[in-house]
Amino acid sequence: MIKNKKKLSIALTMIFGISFSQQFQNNYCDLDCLEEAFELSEGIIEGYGGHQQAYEHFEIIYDMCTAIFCNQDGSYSNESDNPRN
Amino acid sequence: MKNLKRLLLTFLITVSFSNCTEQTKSTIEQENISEHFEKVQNELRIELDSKNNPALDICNEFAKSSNIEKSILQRDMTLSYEKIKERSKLVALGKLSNEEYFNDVNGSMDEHNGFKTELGKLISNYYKQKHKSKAFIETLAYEKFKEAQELNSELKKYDKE
Repeated sequence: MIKNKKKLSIALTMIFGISFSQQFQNNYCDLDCLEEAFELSEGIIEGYGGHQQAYEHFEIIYDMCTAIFCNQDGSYSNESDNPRN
Repeated sequence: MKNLKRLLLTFLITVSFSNCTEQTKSTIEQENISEHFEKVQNELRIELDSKNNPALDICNEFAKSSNIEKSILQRDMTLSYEKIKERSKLVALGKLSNEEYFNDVNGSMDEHNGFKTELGKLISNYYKQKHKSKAFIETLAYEKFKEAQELNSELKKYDKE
């Protein structure tokens, strides 16, 4: 009886652990979009554009990227989609 | 002679110790900036995500008013997005002016710019008008963006060192 309880608690811990780690892994879509947009706009500041022009580019890229690839909670709408690929 | 040796040794120890202290100080400073940068970047993300996404809203509206399949609209958006990225890279390299970029974004019918679809034109026109008004300058997101970019350039200085 005690052995079964132990087995059950191990199985439950594993299930929760896996689902938690999956959830954690998948919630990076908006962050990836942010980094992508940030990198592109960074080049514009260094070039000649300054912050205003860079932000214009940043905003379009971030909005479009999240609209295409992400769910509302910031996770990937399709796991194979990664905006940074 | 012995005294001179001692003096030299003391000098060397002092110099290496002060170098070590400087390095530690620099690493701590870098870590602090890095932490601050991540925090500001996260605040920027939260600020952007707290509002409606105009690109998505336009896409959803368009899907409602047209009979075009969502998968086709999704493909159009992706195509436009890829073209925007390409063109932004050219702006960053100084090979394309911002004006030229926005002419493309404005949805000209040029088949090479990725905005030849109705949806692409709607999205690009929206941003063109938005950026013309310069209203974004007074938003919290813009402030956070500037702050994050400034911290980022400070971090880059450390990388160069």
